[in-house]
Amino acid sequence: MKVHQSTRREFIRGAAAAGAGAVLIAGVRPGAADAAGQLVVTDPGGEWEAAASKAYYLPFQQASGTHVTFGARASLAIGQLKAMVESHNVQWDVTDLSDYLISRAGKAGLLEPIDYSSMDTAGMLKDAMMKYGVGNDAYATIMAYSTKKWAPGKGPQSWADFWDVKRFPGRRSLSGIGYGPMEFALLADGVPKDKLYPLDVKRALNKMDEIKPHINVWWTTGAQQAQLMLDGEVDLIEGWNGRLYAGITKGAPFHMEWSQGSYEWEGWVIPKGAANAKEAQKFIGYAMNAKQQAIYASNIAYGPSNQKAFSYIPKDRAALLPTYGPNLEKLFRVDADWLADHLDELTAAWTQWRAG
Amino acid sequence: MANLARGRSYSRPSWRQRHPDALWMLLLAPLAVYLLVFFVQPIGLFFAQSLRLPHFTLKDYEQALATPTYLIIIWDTLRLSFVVAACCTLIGYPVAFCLTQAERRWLPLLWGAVLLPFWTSVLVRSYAWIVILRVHGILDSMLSALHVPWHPHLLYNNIAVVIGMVHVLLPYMVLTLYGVMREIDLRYVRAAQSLGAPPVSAFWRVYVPLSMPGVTSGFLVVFILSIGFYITPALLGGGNVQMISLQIAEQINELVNWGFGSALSVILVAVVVGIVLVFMRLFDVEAFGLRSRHEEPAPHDAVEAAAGVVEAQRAASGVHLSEFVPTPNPGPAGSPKRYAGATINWRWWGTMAITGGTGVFLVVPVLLVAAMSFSATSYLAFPPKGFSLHWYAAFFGSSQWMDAAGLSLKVAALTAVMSVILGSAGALAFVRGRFLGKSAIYVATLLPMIVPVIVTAVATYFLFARLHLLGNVWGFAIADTVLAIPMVVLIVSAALRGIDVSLERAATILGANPVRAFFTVTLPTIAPALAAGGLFAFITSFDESVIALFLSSITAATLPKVMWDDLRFQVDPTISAISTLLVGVSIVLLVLSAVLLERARKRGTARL
Repeated sequence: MKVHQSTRREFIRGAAAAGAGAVLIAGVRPGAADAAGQLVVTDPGGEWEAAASKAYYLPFQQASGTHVTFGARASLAIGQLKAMVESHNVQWDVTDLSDYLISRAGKAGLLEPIDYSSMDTAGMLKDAMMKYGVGNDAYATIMAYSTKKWAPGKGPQSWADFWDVKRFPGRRSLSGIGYGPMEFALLADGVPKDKLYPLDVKRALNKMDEIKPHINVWWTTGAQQAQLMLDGEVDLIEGWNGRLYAGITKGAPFHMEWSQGSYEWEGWVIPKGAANAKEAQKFIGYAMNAKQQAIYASNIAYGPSNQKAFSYIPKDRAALLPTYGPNLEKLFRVDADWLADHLDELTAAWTQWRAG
Repeated sequence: MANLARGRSYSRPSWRQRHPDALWMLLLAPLAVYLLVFFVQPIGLFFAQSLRLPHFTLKDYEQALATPTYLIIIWDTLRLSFVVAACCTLIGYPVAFCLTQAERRWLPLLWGAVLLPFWTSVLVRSYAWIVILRVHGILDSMLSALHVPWHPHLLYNNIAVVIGMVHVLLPYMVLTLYGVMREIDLRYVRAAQSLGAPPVSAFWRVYVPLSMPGVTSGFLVVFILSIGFYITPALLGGGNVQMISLQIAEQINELVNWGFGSALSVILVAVVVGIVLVFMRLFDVEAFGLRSRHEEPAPHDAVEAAAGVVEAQRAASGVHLSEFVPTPNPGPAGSPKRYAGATINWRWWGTMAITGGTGVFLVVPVLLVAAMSFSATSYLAFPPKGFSLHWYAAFFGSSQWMDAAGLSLKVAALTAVMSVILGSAGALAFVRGRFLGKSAIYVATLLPMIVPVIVTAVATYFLFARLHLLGNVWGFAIADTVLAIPMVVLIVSAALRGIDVSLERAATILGANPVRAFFTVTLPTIAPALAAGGLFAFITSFDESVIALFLSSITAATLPKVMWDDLRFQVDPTISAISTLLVGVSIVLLVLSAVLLERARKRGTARL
């Protein structure tokens, strides 16, 4: 946070000096050579931004001479992205999106394709290198249970266990957003994790019917997950590994169970028509660097896409990250491409189920 | 009118007489132009997407209506909003009544109770309710301590959502009602009683009808605002309460199905406008500020009788203009401030009890928020663990928070000024004027409240990108003013309807020109409504988070935008610290105004 604040103050002062015209690309510092280049990066803000500025923004600025302006944008950037591209008013050069949104936005013509030819991709996980974006960090959706109720390792080990309210009685919380935990319902119903896609929506919702009366809270934000654990509001919860971990570090007595979890990429993209698309490609290439990714992953508990990063990360830290070998093999990848094409039906089906 | 003509010149009819509608059109014009440019045109373009022009297809509408899902959600949303509006009316009525009756020295305290929740972020307020309502929460523990065997499930269902939303919206109801009740001439009630009406029927048949403009306007404000809610329902409903605004936001922002999102919005807007029109019929068009300018309020038999008595009294006592100019004392001049007689003292105490209870209901969550802001933990915790000023330091030490707070204050102040000027001029035209298409224009003025904010946000983005108003103070203020105008129009027209036109007429008879009569007689009487409208506008802007997400640039972001940036990761106690600071500032302002009023009053009596 500290680093970020000082830069922000600097460029705001710069903007004031540059006058009213500098409202949109206010990164211009008085006296900075134009030739050095500009880059505007937006992200979800908060901890994410603090970690990314230490690992990528500031080191890249130092290494390349390109001045990086960064700031937070809306948590769901795709609506704003579309508005920008369609109004020919693209203010960002780089931003980050979840992988299914990368696929969706790419197909809708909102993104520049990534030019891998000039990038060093050694060590990168193959599924992180998408046509319209590069996975920076993986987040896992897994379950966690109260250690007050079950000793670590004695709680539910699978989604079938999570669904088993007799063997594991307790207050439960699942995701209420998007298309809900349909994959987990299918796993609970016995579908093997490599046969999940295309999702059998009917079967998933039938299985959801079973658990519905036992769900006390359907969460809608990441912040809510940690808060529910900290308040002792639930005993079993589905959540994002970073949020669950935040709850645990703040004192919630919970154990994270990686088995049968899913993982998705949060990745860098370049909006179509970005003013500094060339610098943007360079930045994305830089962000694949194993050392930088290790710095990132030591500041926020999301998994690096470059496997070589783990040679710079201590074991106990690595154990918290989704892309760390022993964790990764327990997880399955959400099929972002399939999802991008079927999201409308899935959301409609989920909405209908929730309303019914 | 004849008197007016005699008082001025015989020779030529005034401009106003020759063009009776021109003045009203002139007053309405700025509002109409403003909404056309900054609302109707961008929204129209956006809604056109639901027809997939130029190809024209209705497939988005077919999809929306193919299953009953969305209609069910719209129905649930409307039902919940109705319940919230009804609760606010039932609770708000006695509270507003009590505020008009309360001793002056209690006023700052009572107003404090009503207005304090306004300054706390919806987010932390929802969390305060979770703390109160959850299993083993404050309420549960209190019931256990009192050995009450009843342990209701209050959280994560409709009850919790209604409680949370009433808490947010009650101030709107109370302020709207107060603006009208304050102007009720209690001599009507007294006259009805002296003519033999028992107190209960005098209240129901005289006072209540006179306060109806406030009830209908307040109900409408709360009902329509409720429809747009989704943060409180999501958090307190535990995901069990579905709101249509959330569905629309998801379609537009996450799935980027703008056509389908527009189609859902158009259906919602059509349904709500339909309800508003039926509502107007049911409660009489005149209840909506569309009364013609010479009619007296509430044509009830008792009132008519009472009015006769009052007029006679006035005539006999030799009316002086000075008597009509309101003193700092609230209430129409010459009328009793206190609701009549010892016979209804029990009701007075009952009202006080309800008001006290409401005060507790409003204030306790705010106190919890304040307590949590001093927590040493890095998350919201109740009871707070440890004591720390860390979150205040975090706020004052961060240029990001401070810049955002500064920007938000500026934007909110601009919004308040702009919407009060545009909205009250419009309200005046609606209440006093008579022109073609008045009702249609009136309903159109309410649209910014009805159209889902996410739609307004995206549509405004396109317009502002062209006008280079993104990340700009004026851009935020212009967009927020669009949202605030309907509230100002509703509350100011309710107050205007409540006032006795004969006062203004009396002033003109005594030689004031209409403009002067307006500024010396009408304006001071509706001043509380203007203040309330300004406050609503200020709060609307200060709390606005959806449009802010779109219009912010990375160099200029408002406070709610910055708060929401962090939400994805955690609910940081900094938000509760900011809320507590705002509450503190508003307490200081309230106390200050109370002291100033008291001093002005003393000086006034000294001179007399």
